[in-house]
Amino acid sequence: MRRGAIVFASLAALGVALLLLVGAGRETKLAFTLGVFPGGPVATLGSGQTGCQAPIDVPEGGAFDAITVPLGTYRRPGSPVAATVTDVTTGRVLARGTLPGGYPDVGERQLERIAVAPTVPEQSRIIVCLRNSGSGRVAIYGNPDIAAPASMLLKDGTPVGADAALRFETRSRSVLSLFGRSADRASLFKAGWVGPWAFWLLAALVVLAVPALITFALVRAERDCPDR
Amino acid sequence: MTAADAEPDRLARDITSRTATATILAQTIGRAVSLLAVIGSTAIVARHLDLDGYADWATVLSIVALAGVLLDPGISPVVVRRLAQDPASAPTAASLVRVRLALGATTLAIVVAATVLLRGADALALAIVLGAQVVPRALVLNATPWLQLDHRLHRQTAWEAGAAGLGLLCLAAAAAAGASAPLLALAGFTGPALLLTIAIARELRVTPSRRLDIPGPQPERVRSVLREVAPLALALLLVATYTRSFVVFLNVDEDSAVVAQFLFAFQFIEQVIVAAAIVAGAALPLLAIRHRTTPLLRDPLSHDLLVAIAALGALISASIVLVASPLTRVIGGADLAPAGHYLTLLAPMGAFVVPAFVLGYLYIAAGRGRDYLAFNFFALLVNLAANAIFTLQYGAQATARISWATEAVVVAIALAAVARHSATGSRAALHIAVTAVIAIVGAELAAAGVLPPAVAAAGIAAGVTLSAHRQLGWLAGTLLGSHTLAADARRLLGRLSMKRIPAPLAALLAVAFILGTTWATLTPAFQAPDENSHTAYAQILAERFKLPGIEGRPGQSTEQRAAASALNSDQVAGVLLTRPEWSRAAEQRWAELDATLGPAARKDGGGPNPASPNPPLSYLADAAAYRVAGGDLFTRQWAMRMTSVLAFLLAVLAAWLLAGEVFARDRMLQLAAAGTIALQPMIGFLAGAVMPDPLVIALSTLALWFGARILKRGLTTHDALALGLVVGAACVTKSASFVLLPAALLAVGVGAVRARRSGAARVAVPVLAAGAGLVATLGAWIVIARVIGRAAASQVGGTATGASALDIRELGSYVWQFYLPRLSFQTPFPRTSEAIPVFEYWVKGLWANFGWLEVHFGDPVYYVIAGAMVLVAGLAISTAIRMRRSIDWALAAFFLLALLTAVAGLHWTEYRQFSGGATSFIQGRYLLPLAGIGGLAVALALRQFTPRTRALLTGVWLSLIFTLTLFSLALSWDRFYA
Repeated sequence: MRRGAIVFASLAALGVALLLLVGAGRETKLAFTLGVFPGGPVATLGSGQTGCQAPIDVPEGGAFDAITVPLGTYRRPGSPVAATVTDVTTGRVLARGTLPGGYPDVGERQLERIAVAPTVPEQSRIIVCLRNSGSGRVAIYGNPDIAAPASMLLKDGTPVGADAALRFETRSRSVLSLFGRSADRASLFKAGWVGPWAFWLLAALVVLAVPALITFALVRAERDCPDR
Repeated sequence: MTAADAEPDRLARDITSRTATATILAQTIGRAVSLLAVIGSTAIVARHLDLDGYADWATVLSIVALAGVLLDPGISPVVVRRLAQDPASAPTAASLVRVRLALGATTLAIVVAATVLLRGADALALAIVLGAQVVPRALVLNATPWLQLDHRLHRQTAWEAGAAGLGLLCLAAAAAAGASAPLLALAGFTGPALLLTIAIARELRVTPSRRLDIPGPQPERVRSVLREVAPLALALLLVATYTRSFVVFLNVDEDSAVVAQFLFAFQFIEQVIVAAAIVAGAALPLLAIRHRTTPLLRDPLSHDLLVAIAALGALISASIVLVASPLTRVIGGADLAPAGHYLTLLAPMGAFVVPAFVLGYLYIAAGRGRDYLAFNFFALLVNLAANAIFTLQYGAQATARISWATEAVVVAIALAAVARHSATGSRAALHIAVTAVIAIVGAELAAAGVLPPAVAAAGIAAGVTLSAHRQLGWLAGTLLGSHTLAADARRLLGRLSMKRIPAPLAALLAVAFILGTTWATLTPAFQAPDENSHTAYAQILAERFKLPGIEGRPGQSTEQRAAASALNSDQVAGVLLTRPEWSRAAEQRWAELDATLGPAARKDGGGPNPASPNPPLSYLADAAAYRVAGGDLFTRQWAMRMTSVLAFLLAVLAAWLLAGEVFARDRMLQLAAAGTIALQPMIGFLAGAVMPDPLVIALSTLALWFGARILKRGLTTHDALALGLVVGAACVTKSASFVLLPAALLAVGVGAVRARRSGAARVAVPVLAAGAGLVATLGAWIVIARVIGRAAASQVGGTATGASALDIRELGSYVWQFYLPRLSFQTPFPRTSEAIPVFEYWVKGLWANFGWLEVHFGDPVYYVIAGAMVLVAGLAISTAIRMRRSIDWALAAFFLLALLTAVAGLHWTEYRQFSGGATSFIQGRYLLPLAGIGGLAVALALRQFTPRTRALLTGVWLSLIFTLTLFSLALSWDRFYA
């Protein structure tokens, strides 16, 4: 084997190893998102008022124990917010949590995290309600209703024509350990033939076949270009 | 001995299986080009006319084909025989003109009368104009005997292909202008046929066998030919009648929709008939010569030939079964899609019509033309009776089966005589029967839906190959024998033919395919810049063959909006906080919704969107993939993305060729240059999206290659033509490609100056060819755009909208601020990023900026990339300085001009946009059409090192960009799915 090919194969292997290391070291808490861009305030909750986003499908692998949401406080310390997660079908409360008061405005911190317990299971259909349990105003950020067409935000039971920019989190996991789950997600809304297996195959091709092909190309190119 | 006396000897010496192979090959290529033009014109006409109109159109064409036999009722074979055996008895070409004109006029009268009878007086104008093409075609056929004798018929075919291409362009322009059916006919068919007569007259003047023309009284020779032709003419008339008699029965029995669909399907069978005629026509002189020494009907060699030809015909049947459905859907559109079923039923025609032609000529060569006439007469009776009984009762499905059954009758009777004469003859008949049965069974099973078309086609191919492998092997051996088919192909195709693909290039193409496919599969739908708009463009083109930008319509179809909403793509675009939909339940809901959306939901887009001003070339490829793919929108979009992957492969190939041209085929430098393109992450990402950029990159790199060829090897017609074609095609893909024109002009100009001592013709022809290439692509688009009221290059023109007058100081300030930190007294330009633009666009955007540009690495990664770019540029400049004495400065100027024009064009456009009050315009990817120059810079940087160091550094370089691509894929994966 020629020098160029050896160097390439060695460095490419290092690159792959580095990628695996980074993938193992990089962690994510994201369980899933409602997929709504926080374009601006879509509902202002006065004291005791409630904003509910319903229904929300918790996807496969989407079990969560925290909700994040952009909240506006009108440049004052934020009012406490109580969160409840209810099963749409049974009406049973699945989890509760509270965001203590005093948090900053959305301009200073983009998302507020409300831990809920117990863990909300995957593949459930839920309503997420946020109740302003303080005295100040709280603005929920989101986008017009078309953002999440299967779901809607209601203020004290009345639709407001918008969706809240909710994200759902769970315990921290490495991106590498999530590869199988991510492959499931990546296979959705794709060509009819694409399944999770396709991404395993493509990953193997990119990580193994591509460096092998380049190594082969270098070997052949060096053979065709003897020292001159 | 006179020249004429010596000519038969020359013929015996020069007209061999080798020339037959060559002319078949060349004619096949010419016919393939004509076929593409026919497909294009059929697609245009089928979409332009309603079903009634298309039924009129197809009826006229069918009658033209039916009556077309009158144009040459066997005159050519008879004249060929006389020229070969007894030149004194052959009339001159000029003496036959009156006969040809009379035949043309008679044919036209028949076409007009029959059309009016079948389709009514409303079709009269169309019948006259479309039918009038038979008159010039009769004159074209007058040259056939002499060209056929010299095995030069491929020249006629080439001119016919050219006329068909011209006709296609004119037809497209006429259709775009909303012309009526008669005007379409004039522009697309009859007009080009008139031009064809001029070209063929010249061919007739220069073909060698014209030396056989013996002056003297001609009328008696003409009459003698006509007397000899009479039985053959009758036979051909019978063949034409039974082949196309269904036109009458179908028009009587079926409505316009079915007539249009069946005639549309039969147009593909017409091409098979043409192919059969080519093969038989080339075999005729050889059979005639062989019959001098060997009785053909008892000749084992002829029997093997028949079996091999029949097997080839059955393989054609297999191909038809395989492509019938997608072919008719893509070319004919939704209205004519049912034609796929008829075409599948007609597929066995291949297995019969090809051997039928050869058998017919074998009988003629053996002097048994009257027997052949009797067979055909009997077949005609069978055909008419069957159509009267079955077509009128069961409609078009019966017609399809009667069509091949009639051919089967002729073949069976003709073979019965062959089988009687010898054991090899009876074995040949048995073989032919087996292959035909395999073809029939396969086609019927596919048509009935019992077997998928691919399985049925594979079954036919396998069965036929097994049954006739010896004869197919013999035929292949004969064709490939002492002279080799490949050698003929190389000779005929000149430098276009490719030698074996070098292993490093093959590996790079495989790498590009893997990476392109990975990006195409990984990236969520609509998550590349403006991919929603590009998809909408391709969809309206595929669904309605319309260009978008229609006022009052939505920019995207109902289906696309629903799909985007289901996937949540609009909320995800450019926003890192959101993710595409991850719920399988949501995907299921989409599938249920999609099932309720009718075809109308795909067709109601076409309004203005950011992509709608673009020229259409890349979208045409996307639309073809869209039509072939089927399935839901996500499946169709993936198929469209794969056309970008193909363009990516073309770009890698072009970069390899470009580096090979510049660096004298140094494989390591070629690998470094093309590997840079194959592994560059931004190009890979774009190759996985529906957008014109990948094709522009490929075409621009090809243009650089052809320009380099002209400057390195001298100006040749085919390089100049190719340069004109690819530059024009790039402009028809994206208007920004106009910046290639100055560099192309420089290449052709320098090439012309260098070639001036070789004579005016040596310069003028290539220069004209370059112009012709541009006219055929860009010119055609400009005409079409004018006719349909679109701007041919709206991006170029549109940038000046609202712009103020040029202010040199302001322009200087703009350029300064792009490349250097803004000075305190300078007015800032409204950019979306605070970063210095040269870093934001020429580093970050050029190498790794994915999704809707929201997906990128941290700045330190780009600092490293910028450092690598500076290092490569520095090394490249240092190499250039070292090599300054040996550098071809014209070549360097060519690349520099291409680079500077592109950069200057982008700056000028952005500056004018700023002047008009718009925001920034430049994106890093806009520089990627110059990726070929980037690859050359890498190779040039490496060139100063010893071969050992060069190989080592190439390995280092490729590993670095491979790692960057690896992390780029991971970055996108993390952004959308983790």
